Amino acid sequence: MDIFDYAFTLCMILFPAVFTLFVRSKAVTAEQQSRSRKLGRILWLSTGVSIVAFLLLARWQPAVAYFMWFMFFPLWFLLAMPMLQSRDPGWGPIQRDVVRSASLVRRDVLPSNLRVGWIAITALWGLLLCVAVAGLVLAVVQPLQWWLLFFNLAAGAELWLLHWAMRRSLIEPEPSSAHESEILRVERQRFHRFKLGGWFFLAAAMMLIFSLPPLLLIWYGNEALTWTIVIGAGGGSLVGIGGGVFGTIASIRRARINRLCIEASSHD
Amino acid sequence: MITINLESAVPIVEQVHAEIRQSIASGLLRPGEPLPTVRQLAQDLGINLNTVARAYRLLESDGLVTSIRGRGSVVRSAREAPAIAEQSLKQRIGQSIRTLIADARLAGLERSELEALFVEQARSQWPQE
Repeated sequence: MDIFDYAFTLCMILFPAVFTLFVRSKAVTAEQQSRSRKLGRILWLSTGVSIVAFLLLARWQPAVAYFMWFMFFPLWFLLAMPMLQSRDPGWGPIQRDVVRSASLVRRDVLPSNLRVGWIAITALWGLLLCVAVAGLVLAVVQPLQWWLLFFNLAAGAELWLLHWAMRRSLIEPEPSSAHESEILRVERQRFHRFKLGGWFFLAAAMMLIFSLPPLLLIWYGNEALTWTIVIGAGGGSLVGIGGGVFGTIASIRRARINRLCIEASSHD
Repeated sequence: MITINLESAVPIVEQVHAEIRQSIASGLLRPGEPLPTVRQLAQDLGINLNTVARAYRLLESDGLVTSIRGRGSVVRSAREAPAIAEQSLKQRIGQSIRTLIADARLAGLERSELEALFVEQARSQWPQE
């Protein structure tokens, strides 16, 4: 195991417990507070046990130790999430009142101002594909490796994925308070912009990571091998981290909207 | 925006139907404007998909909404809506008023209270131009 494996596994195990430290407690009743403290203790204890287990395995079973990062999932979903929900109801399921409201604006139709983004990302894919094909047609590097074009073509699947992810984001349940509050409306609009912008950014980054390594091999042959590894491994890791950050911020914003909705409903 | 009350004696499907009708009548939803998908509205309100689908079918049978392939449910323009003869329209409204009066009497409301309620609703829902 190298230093990266150590750091990555430890970060994944520690993340759920550390994250809960940044969520301010909004538990109002004594029962909620005691539940929150109890779940917190279990979470930290489980995190400690996982770290000890990882360090022991890293000493005697390094091949198995790396997979300890999977502990992130039970720690996050089984312990951290219930703890967050006990600290702040905004992190829980959408709170629904007896009186419920909904907007009549259809959201699954992509806003027209996104057309520019779509044109740009499709043009980027087309451009990368053309440069790759040009390298093969002009036979810059011998022998020709047409199979490399598969990666450039596969990058086009990003467009389909992007469309799917955006539609899913747009039809995400969006409850309103019976007397829609202005803050709630503004917050939801910001969330929409954030989600759509985030999807565009991630799709563009993924497209570059898929397309650039084969493109470099087509134009520069084995001389570009180091760069393809840097782009593939480094860039891929960065996009993975970026996706994690994007998902976390989206969860925080979703919790804030849920909390605003609860507050607005309690004022109705 | 539409609002429903789960504790109301009025069935949810009728509440959804009436609220959308009201939005169309008041001009909040204009001809050609798409309605939210059945899934979106059901998720936002936290109710069953079939309830919303039934409300949409009622709107279609009223001639207020039309279903277009690829666009979903869209508010019909006055020109497209099937013309309702004035006599039949007056009959339908008269029937609705009779039902209202019966409900009010059963609830023990005074005639003056019902009239005041009617005027209040007419003022809020149908402001003078």
